[in-house]
Amino acid sequence: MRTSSTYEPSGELRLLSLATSAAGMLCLSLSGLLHWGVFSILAVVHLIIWRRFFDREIIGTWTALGVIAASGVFEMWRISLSGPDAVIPALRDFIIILAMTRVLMRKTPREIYQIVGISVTQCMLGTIFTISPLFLIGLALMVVLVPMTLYHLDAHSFSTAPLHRKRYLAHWAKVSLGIVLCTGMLFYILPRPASSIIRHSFVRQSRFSFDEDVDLTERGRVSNDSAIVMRIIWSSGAAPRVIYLSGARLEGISPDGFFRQETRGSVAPVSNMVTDRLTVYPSGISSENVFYPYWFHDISPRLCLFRGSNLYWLGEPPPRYDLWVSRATGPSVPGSKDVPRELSLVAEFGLRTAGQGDAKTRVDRLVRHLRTNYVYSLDQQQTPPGRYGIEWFVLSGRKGTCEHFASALAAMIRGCGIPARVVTGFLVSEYNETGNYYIARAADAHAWVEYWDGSWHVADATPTGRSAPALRFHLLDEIRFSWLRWVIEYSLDDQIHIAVRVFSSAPRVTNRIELTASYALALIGALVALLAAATLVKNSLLSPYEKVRRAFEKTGTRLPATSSHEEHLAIVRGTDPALAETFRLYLGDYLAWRFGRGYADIGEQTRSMLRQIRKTGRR
Amino acid sequence: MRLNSLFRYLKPPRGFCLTKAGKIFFSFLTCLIVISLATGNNLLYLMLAAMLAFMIVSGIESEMNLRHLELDRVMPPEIHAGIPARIGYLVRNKRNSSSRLVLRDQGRLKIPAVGRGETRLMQTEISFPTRGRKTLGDIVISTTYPYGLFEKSITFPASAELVVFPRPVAFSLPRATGTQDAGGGKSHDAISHVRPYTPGDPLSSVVWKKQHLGLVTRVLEGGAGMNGLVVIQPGHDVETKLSCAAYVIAELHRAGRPFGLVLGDYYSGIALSREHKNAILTRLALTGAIRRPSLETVPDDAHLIHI
Repeated sequence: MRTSSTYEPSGELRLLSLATSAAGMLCLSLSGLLHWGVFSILAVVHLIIWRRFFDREIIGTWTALGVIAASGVFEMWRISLSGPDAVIPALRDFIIILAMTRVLMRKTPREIYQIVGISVTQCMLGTIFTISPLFLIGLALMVVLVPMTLYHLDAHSFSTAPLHRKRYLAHWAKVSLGIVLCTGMLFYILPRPASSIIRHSFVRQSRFSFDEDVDLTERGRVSNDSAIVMRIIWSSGAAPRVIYLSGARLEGISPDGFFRQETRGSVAPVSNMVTDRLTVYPSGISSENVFYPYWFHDISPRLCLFRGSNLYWLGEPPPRYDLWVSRATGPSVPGSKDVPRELSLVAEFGLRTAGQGDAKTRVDRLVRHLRTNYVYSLDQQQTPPGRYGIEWFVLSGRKGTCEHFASALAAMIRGCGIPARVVTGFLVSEYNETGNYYIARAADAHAWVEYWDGSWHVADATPTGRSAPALRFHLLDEIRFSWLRWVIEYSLDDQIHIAVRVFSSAPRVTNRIELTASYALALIGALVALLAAATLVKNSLLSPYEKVRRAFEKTGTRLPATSSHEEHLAIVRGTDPALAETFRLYLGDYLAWRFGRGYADIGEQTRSMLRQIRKTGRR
Repeated sequence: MRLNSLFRYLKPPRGFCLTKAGKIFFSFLTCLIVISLATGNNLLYLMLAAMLAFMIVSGIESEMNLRHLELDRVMPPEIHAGIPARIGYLVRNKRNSSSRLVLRDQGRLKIPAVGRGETRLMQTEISFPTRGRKTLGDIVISTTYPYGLFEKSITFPASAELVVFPRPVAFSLPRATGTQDAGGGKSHDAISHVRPYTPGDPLSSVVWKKQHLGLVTRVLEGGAGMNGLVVIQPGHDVETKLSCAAYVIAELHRAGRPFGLVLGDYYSGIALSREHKNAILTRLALTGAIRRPSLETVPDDAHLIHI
């Protein structure tokens, strides 16, 4: 790096250095650390400096040092006042002040190197605070701009013009493509630390948690939040149209709704009858419960605690997990038929409405009644004082959410003497056909009923007349999901999984001797490949005549390195007169090329000579 | 022996060293590796992969820049101590174009660009302070292309020995006399050729007509003009004596007059050719002490110039 007082940067270098600085700030904005308004102002400042003031020293060294020191002290004071919460904004502000100060100062090559360094630091900082695929824009800009800036700086230090304009675009297209390809390859090869570390991130903000009790008196909990909380891949079997993805089974009942109650019998997963496998990718969901539909068989990773019929993660929820489930509802401990005294009117109403028949017929009748005569509404009705939520909904209000419908139906079924419980979870019906996975949104949170009839059966009384699904851009979501799955969440597990798949596709070796032999073979193969590569490189570095000399040696004609060309020719004449004339002509060309500064294409002639030597040797 | 050949085999074909910018880049890279491993943040891994990819691409580009370079060193026929000699280097890249090359031999020489298939002649002046046998090392061509992060170099085996002749120091030649002027020819002999005027030439041989080449002297057929046999006498100031002898030999050769050298027991014979001159100058360059000259083998008609 050189500093020159009479430095005159080229137009490209001016543009590139400031564009790199702006790209660093863009990275901060894309990661959500810098407000877009502030970024716009800073971008305009960069533009003005590029057009008008690049050559001028807007602030001097001492002023810049003063500003940086003052901002450092200020940020420290800010952190000491506000605590650890202020660390990130302080860091952000400090680095922006540093970057802007650098841009306003003198811009010689050394300073441009500093601008590049600060921009890369900004990009590094940005990576910590984002998981958005949009960040890739900033990263891609850095990948293009940093090499271009460094290239121009090196050209400037050498006092040469950069590439010819005609070759400029083609060159940078090739370089960028090369960097992108190598980046892609290295990213997946570089070894990762243990997967548990990846879970810690500054950007994981839990957005939604479904309830493990249904409190019908609480208002405003249900909303039309369309944020994605899970993506589910149904790995085997035909995917159903709708999945009831249960999260909590509520056994106890109170006048205000259902709640989770510990049941004595714990349900251990069974290992047979596996029908379907679901891979669940939770994103931003705070619940520690394991979601599963139908009857649960197994889970991987096995980090779960069984409490009643609910399953809980022992620690942080994993970035993804696999469930093996059966579509048939399995055997379980029968639930309760208890109805609180305050809800006796609801139970009696249910008994009257259900009429006579078997459990299924009576439940169907109740479901039909609720779907026909009641209205689904997110505008939650205020329960009058002195009335209970379920009772008010069934007997007077007739408007409610899924929790009202599920609670009412469960109470009415229990009134008929059939054990029933409320289940909360997600009713998932949005299927991304581009990526072949289900999307569970926060708005898909749902409550329904399971009743006991020898086994647990699902009954859902909530009217289906919900609003039509909004227009979704499934391709965009697929891109986002792929980004999350294969970049953000890519882990050591994936690397092991890929390695295992690669190795498992190889023939199975069980015998110890065979195993040792295969290791030995692999080692020998690697050594041979290494030697071959080294020889190839070494041969490519040999001089043309040396290649010819060695080729002769392989055919048995030894041409000593210490002998002259004439002596070599004489040896060849003696051993192979047919080849001697060709060799003489080649020698003439070679000597003309070597000593006469000739323009002969000696490479092609050498290749031709080598072909002839090999042909003669084969004869 | 085998170990040496193994080392030679394993020796990397290119030299490599980091520039200041490269050191900063590698510091960044090291920090990034540590942070990536500590946090497991995949975006940091992506950035790390991008930086490593950038290094790989940079390495490939610099290799392409150096690969297929051909180099020849062109030495001047004579190099005298203390007198700058112009050395030429013919650089050519037949397959690729090369940029920002620095050639290091006796000094540094910047080569901004060599086009594909183009041969560029670069020249530099070097000066050897003392006479004698000198060894020229291999030639190294290095480049910081494309991003200035590291300097990659390729070494061309071009070790050679050369003899630096003594620095010529002006020495006044004895004036020619009539008898010497006659040489083996006659005054009416035909003119063989003309040559530049040398101090000491007989005035009758000088062509006084103004010539664009300056003054010239006629040389008659039959070897007109005196010969000169430089005899170096022992003395204290060896270097000055050798320098004066080199000057006289060069002047005689330039004047087209036969010359020779007597140095101790050595007698070069009398001749006119360039090879003869180079042999004498080489002898002068490699001489250590000067011993008393032996004039027994010297022809009687030789004109002795004692130094």
